[in-house]
Amino acid sequence: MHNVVGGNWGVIMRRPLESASRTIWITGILLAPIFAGMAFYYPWARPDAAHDPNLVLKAPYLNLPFFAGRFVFYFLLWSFFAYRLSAMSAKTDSSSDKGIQIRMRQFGSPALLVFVLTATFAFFDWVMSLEPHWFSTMYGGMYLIGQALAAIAFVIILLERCSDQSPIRENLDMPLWHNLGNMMLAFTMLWAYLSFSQLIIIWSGNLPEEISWYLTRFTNGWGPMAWSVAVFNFCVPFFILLHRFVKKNPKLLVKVCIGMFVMRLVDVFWLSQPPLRPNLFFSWMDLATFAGIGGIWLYFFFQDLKGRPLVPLRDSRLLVNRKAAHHV
Amino acid sequence: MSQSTVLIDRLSRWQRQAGIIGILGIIASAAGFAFDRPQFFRSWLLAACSGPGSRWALLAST
Repeated sequence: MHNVVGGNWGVIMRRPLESASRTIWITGILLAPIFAGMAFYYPWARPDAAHDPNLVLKAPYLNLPFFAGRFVFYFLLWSFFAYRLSAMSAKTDSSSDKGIQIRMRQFGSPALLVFVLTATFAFFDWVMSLEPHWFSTMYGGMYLIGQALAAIAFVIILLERCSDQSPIRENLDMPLWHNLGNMMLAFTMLWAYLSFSQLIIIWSGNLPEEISWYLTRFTNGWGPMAWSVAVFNFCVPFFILLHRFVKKNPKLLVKVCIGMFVMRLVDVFWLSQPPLRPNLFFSWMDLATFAGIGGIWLYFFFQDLKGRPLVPLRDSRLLVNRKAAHHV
Repeated sequence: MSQSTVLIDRLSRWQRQAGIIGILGIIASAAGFAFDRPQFFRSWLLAACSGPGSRWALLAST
């Protein structure tokens, strides 16, 4: 997205985001155990699906070989995008050729389009098809924007923790923190817009096959969680991030980001778990699997991050390079 | 523009801590798989769909 739209705001975030995207193959491996529980997760993968006329109609798309093929295809394609873009980005460290940035934009534009499309279908596959009778064309976009919000929050937290040391220290000034805060605000509003649009369309349609999704998520103990997502994932951060002094104060901004990151996890819980646990309950394994998957992913993320300069050294949009050009 | 060795050391420390937490989490999850398989599957899907940041980051960096 940054390669496509440009701007100074994203240069400081680029290397952490590239390292995170270069570990996408790890997420594929960590997600693969779901294949051991296909019949547990997905009604369409159970033997009795053959007796459900609705699922029979959807069988050309929702079947195990095609699901597995798409799974592999998504991760191969996304890994190709991640490595191609980060390889071009690495070239900017040793060369001041302006053409590289143009080539990154030329590659990034179609890649962004294809990524959004494939990620939408990936979330249809992995999460939405837990309830195969229900459908929403907004679901993928809503999920994707929510996860982009979590990525931005994560990188802002990381940058703040590193901002006392070179090369982050001299490349992050108050206007850049302000811009990062504005990014958070924009993605918060976009997430809320998509989520509320889906709710209002389904509510106004009032069709039994559509409202069942919300009924499941507002009953049997799930209601308070739904309200907490609305309040703490949108209302509270929205009103806090409207204030300029919060966005210009890294310590305050990080507190908002930590809150947003936690609420993103609550939102994913609320989106994905009701079909698997009709009554809300928690288990120690929720924490154990999160620590396992998150810890392993972070290990590879930091390994990759250490291996390259933490900022694109010769990018003309980098703060120290802009200051140097100004003095010349 | 130099890269601070303090920062690299800090990233290495975080990496070690994350690795230890990750291994302990995987061991605990494996025990959970042995004792309560349905709950393991619920929790694994939740963590796999919310934890790793790669997919989110790819969107932002594309």
